Amino acid sequence: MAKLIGNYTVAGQTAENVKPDQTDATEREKAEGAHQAQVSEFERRAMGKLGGSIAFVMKGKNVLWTGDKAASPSKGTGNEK
Amino acid sequence: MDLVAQATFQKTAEIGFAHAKQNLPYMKQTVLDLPPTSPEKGASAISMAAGPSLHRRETIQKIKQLNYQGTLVVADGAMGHCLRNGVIPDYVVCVDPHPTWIIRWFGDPDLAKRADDDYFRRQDLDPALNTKERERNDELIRLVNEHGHKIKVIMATCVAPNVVARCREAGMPLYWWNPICDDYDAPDSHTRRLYDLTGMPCMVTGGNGGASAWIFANAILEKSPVAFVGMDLGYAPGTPLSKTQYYHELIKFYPEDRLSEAYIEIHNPYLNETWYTDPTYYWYRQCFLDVVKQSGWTAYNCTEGGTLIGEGIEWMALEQFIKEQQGSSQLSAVS
Repeated sequence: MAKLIGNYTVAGQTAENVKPDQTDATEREKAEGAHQAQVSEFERRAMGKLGGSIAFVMKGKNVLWTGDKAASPSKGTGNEK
Repeated sequence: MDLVAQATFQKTAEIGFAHAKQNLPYMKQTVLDLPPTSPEKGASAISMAAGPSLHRRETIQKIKQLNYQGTLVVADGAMGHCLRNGVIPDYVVCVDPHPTWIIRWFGDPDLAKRADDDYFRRQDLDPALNTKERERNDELIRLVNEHGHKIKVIMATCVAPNVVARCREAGMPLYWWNPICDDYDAPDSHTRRLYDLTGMPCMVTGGNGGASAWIFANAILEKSPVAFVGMDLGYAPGTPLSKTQYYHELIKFYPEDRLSEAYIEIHNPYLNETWYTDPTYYWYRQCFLDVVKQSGWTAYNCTEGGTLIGEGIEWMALEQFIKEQQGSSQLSAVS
């Protein structure tokens, strides 16, 4: 049975399976770049559906931040060591 | 878990910023302007999310029967359940910028015009929404209109303008804050951009409304101890996969016969039950464990179900927590 190869490279793909116009390194890099971009876009859209309600980060023990004003520093939890 | 974190940021940051721009005219008070809670409320608080244990464990009924006098902070998704059962929370926390889902928690006047969406029917977070959706929505509109003025809304700047309009229509007082979404000291920080736009104080979120409610009770109200209820971050044994919140998304990644591989089992030693969770809820769980660990605050888990077990989390029956707080309030009053 002939090995089915799509418009992307797969693990174990040999040079003879590759179309001649893809043997050029620059073209190959372009193709891989485009493929990677497609994969990234797919993952981005798919994961967007699985994302949570709101982003989360926490810097040290600071739970509040009120800008850079000297009089109102970020508020910690009082447990800084 | 990094993927879920990145996806959440990508999904919410820009739309949240656009919402904040539209909400600007209504940002009159911040969470730092909140009046202190009355002395009768005591030092404790309960934060409430809308997980399945809220119904399985009859949490609201216990709060009523035990006549809990402390402060009640609820995530928006839990407010309707409170109102339907005759409990008026002190605060409702709203943080998710989704453009059409969140208004449902306040009663959606435009429900009939929305595209059909089984988001609410598919989950058992609030079984009241599983049947008679229209009637339940109308009921919630009435309840929020009647009691809304007594409930302070802890409103994130990123929330959809239709939610803000609904709260204003119901006479709910709004107190604003920005969600901390990234490193505010980093160049091109999204959080700093929100702060520069709105001038509102910024608060850590925990990733969802339930976690934000618990953080708010600790950080802004400075309550201690703070228990949480209804925060399962998982599904009870026997829950069909099709009833889980992200089922429709996960089925796109996994064939039906391998779908269970997308879920994570967590044994709860207090219940001797094995619950399970999905990638997004597992991310919420990790976020909450991080907040508890980094803040040093003790979190009293009175959910009586779920997957939230870890360092800094004290598992406790809700009845015990309430009785201990009522006892300490009486002692304070005597001394």
